[in-house]
Amino acid sequence: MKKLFNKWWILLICGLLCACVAALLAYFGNPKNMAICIACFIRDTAGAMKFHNASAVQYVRPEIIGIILGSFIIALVTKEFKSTGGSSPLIRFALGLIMMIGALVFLGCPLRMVIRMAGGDLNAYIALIGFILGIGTGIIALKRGFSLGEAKELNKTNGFVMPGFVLAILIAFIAVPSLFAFSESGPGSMHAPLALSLVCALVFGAIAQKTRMCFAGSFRNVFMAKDFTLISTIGGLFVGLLIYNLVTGNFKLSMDGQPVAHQQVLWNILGMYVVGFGAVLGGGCPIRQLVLTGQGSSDGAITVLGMFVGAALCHNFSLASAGDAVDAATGAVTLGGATPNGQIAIVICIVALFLIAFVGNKRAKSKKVKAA
Amino acid sequence: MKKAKEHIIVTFSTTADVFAFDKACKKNKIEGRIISVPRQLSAGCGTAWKSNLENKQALLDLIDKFDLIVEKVHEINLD
Repeated sequence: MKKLFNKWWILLICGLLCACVAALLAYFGNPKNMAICIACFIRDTAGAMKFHNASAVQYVRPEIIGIILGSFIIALVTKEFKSTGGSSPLIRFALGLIMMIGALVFLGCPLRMVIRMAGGDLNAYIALIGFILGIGTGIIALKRGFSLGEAKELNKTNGFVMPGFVLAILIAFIAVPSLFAFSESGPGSMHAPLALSLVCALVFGAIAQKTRMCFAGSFRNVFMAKDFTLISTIGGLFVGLLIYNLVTGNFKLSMDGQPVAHQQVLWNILGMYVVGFGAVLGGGCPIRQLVLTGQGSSDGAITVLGMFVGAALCHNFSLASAGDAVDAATGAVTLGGATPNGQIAIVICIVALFLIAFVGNKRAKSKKVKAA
Repeated sequence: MKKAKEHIIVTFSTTADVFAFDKACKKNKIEGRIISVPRQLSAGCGTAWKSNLENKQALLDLIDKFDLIVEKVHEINLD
């Protein structure tokens, strides 16, 4: 059964299934050209839990909880759950925080980048350049011996903590909603019904676990190994959503007028450069970190916690970009973009990534290789 | 009748080890390449090193001689 997931056409079909899930969520209320965005939804959840007070982005996103639990359940059922960790946890926390800053400067994680591309958002195509360059920089670091060290098998209970924690958040959200903040306007107020979001995310998480969905890993394997297997899932997701957008009239090929997006070329590129670079160093993009968390990886969980804290910091310190805004009455457009604090943060993040990648953090060396 | 195993897959704990292994094999003229780790071997999205079964002993000798860091050497059929 596992061998099936080596076949590119199986992964393509799984990507198409994920596209159906995302389309359902967008159709039933999630923000346009967003559907599922790991960075935005972790940010919204942080806001709902009052870690920040940006009123437009506060809602406990069942999608984040569902992806972790979907991965958790399928990993348990198929005996792939394994409690591991101990591989440079604080550096991973920092990488999660850094990836979140990059994502919120661009206004999306790699998953949302592909969703936006499928909607015709040319800003996302431009950001893809940065993402690929970031992955390339990460690969250079790997070739020069960068390693966060091997993860060890841990006491089984470690792996259950994060799935248990997010399940507790979900129960509290359903049972005592007054504990949480809810956006009354803005992206945080746009959401599909809770039950639908949860079921869709459980399916998405399970598929992501079985297919090893990882946006950074997919491109990394193409460049490192000329292996197009993993990227087939991404291809299926893109094609499925492109078809959906074309059929429903939601496709608009432009830079302007795109929902929750800005047109600043440099900061879109640099934002996703940070995400790509950080993802290669950390062993996975944001969605992959959620899936790893569900599979029992404490390293994944630490990265997710870093993203959570990063999301709160982004809004507390005005690091997150603003999207272009259209005045409903007059039609006048106010161009959005990266804030001054966000621009400074991106520069700091790039410096930090280079320090992490190229100063220290080398693999344990074998004896010097001699030619035969 | 089961098809005979045709491939050697070497898995690693970290991606950096894959590059080091690939470099060592190229220097010692052992044929093979980096691939995505086969799904039946791992739930990880990382990379592994693949060669033909006939190179197995040469690989084991190389690993032993130069103390190369690997996780495991597998014999599988990828078809």
